[in-house]
Amino acid sequence: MKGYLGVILHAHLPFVRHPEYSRFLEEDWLYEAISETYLPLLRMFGRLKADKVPFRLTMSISPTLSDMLADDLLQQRYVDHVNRLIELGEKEVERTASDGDFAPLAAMYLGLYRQNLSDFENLYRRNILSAFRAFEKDGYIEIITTAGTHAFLPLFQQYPEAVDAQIKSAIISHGRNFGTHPKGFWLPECGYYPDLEKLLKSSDISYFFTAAHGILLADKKPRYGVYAPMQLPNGLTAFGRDYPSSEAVWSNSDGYPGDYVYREFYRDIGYDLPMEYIRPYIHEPGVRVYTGYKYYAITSAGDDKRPYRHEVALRKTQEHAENFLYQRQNQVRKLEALMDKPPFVICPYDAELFGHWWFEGIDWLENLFRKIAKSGDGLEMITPSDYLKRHDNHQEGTPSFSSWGNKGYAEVWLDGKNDWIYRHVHKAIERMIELVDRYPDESGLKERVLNQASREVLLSMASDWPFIMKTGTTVPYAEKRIREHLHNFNFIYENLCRNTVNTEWLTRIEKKNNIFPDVDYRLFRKR
Amino acid sequence: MTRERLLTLSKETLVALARREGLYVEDDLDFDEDDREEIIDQIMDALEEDRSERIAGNNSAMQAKGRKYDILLDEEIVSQETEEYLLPDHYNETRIVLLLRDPLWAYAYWDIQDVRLKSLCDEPYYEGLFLRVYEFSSAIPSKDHVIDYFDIPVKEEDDNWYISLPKPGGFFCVDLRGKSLHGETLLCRSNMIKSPLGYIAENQEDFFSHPDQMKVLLSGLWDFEGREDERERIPQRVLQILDYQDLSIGN
Repeated sequence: MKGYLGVILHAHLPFVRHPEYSRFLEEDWLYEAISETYLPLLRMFGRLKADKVPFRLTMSISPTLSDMLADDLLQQRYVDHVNRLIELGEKEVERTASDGDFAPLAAMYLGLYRQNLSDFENLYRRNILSAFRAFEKDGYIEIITTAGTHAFLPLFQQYPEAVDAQIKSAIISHGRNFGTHPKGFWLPECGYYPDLEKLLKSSDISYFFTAAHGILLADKKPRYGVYAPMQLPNGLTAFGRDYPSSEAVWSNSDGYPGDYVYREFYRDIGYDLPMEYIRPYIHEPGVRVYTGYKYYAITSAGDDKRPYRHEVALRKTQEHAENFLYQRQNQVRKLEALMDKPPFVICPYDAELFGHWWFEGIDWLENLFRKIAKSGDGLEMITPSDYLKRHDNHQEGTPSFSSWGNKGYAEVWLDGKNDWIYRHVHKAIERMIELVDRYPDESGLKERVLNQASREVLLSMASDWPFIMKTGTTVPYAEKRIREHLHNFNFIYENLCRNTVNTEWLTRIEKKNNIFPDVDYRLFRKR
Repeated sequence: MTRERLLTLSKETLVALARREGLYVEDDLDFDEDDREEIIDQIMDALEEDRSERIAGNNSAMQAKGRKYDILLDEEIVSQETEEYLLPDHYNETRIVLLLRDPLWAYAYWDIQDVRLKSLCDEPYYEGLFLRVYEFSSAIPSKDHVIDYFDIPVKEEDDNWYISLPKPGGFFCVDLRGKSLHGETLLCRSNMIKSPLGYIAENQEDFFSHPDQMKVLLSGLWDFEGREDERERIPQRVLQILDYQDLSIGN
């Protein structure tokens, strides 16, 4: 048997940074992901490397996430955050000392947070991007990028300048953070529209990913379906997502993370313990949040939960890794009989699913990688770049407009709850293009102003905010973020038109929304 | 959002939250403890319903993605940012933009310059505004390429519309027009969009000798055994395609 498995972990969070507050609720997205996903992933890579286990996967690390991970303020705040959780853990160890079920769990979490603090401060010197880069240099992972602020690109296709600015700002950020030019590009939400490949090609990108039906419904019938890349007329290649391997991990009803022995995400001492005890560790003023200290197993669909037993859950990850490997091997056997080349099964996942929501997810990945190395039976882990080096003569065609969102197109990001944003964001893009036209070669203060204007437009294009408006629980914040960036842009636009620039205001906004330090407003030059 | 949290909220905030959840609250409700308990019960039920709807209305990829933003439970009223950011209601220009949502739906938003709208409305025998949706045979919006069109009446206060497209795989654009007894006035024309085919292309050379082969290769249904109950776990899009193209899945 011969086949390939392409595991892609897409690591992304929107740019959230509020120096104007001492603590800010939504910054916890980053801190939780560092604690529960990124640091545990790096530890897992380290263990595999130490044990000389060969593994190979693709990681897209978004520019917004990279710039946040490289930010001094957020790094310091992460340290403060973990220190608070360590303090809580010490109290929890004391509080649960006589409880046979919860005492080991409190000790486990305390150990994890202490390990996180030690890794972050001592091992990585707060720079975990360099740690990912080191694993890339060693040949274990390939790091690719995604759109600058993770814009859902099909809804901006009438503005190639803006789409190009999303691509180029990402590549510049990738160069700054990783020192390389990415070969691959993760299209946010797998959002593809025909012609996008021209802009990707002009930035020297070799491949991207689409939803399965992007390949399936291409303008030419795909000979190998989603199990081989599709070469577009301009030479770029598109890799289609395999549905069954995604569902095995994601499905609410049948996915591995829903197994009853795994840790329940939604039972947390932030909600379970009395306010006077938990108050210092939740959000001010007295708003309960998840703390990360979770003592129950999923148990059943109802509210009645049994105490979580970590060792039982870890054994289950072995079983589930074995099952996943068995399913993929069967899949490859069936596919290879129908293909004249080894099938390539593409398995993309949001990285933050592992460790954060599916607490044992990283153990599952580690077990999977170890099992593939030991008994893969011809199933090999590779990246799309590896595949393109080994194989040519791809099936040809142009994929269809598609995304991996609900119903497969743009419905999640264009809906009654969020459609109002587009008239404003589009207008800001048009005005930004107009500003470049009017001020093509500025320097000094005016260049700073124009650069900030371009940052604000890019930030307003983020797909995260319409996504949260449609589906999430922090809708007021999402709406405010869109309004803030548009407001800042409009303020700059109007002041530039009147030739008045408030330096104090500009400096404040530059310090707050400091993403893309090397941005050049001319990215929005008219085509 | 917890009951404990709701109990800490002021009457005004509770009423606002209840109304936002679509609950009826009398304006002059004299809010004794029983009323307060009842409203809190109703809000908790409404939030639970919202959560269930959010889960049911999304595929597993979106549900998984949403979980990384789960830092608290249904706490929508919290926003630390106190600064208000105002945006213009409109940009006082006459334009219409068309966005493709999926093979069968598009979204149009528009704006009409104040003086333009006023002069139109002041015309004798002014009848109203309407959208004219054109289907073209190519991306060139000329009369020669018009396949068909249809009109959608809109009101002066409208500024956006979801448009049901007559078929996938077509080129579409939209005019915003005014109508009076003297005839029609073109106010603005949108960009052109092309909707995707939504089905598997027919190649002259067909690689597949057996439908099973196609199912496996194209859809990822490699372990599909043909049982009716298995249809539930097949993505709706794939089922539609296979059924539409008469690949008789399960037979």
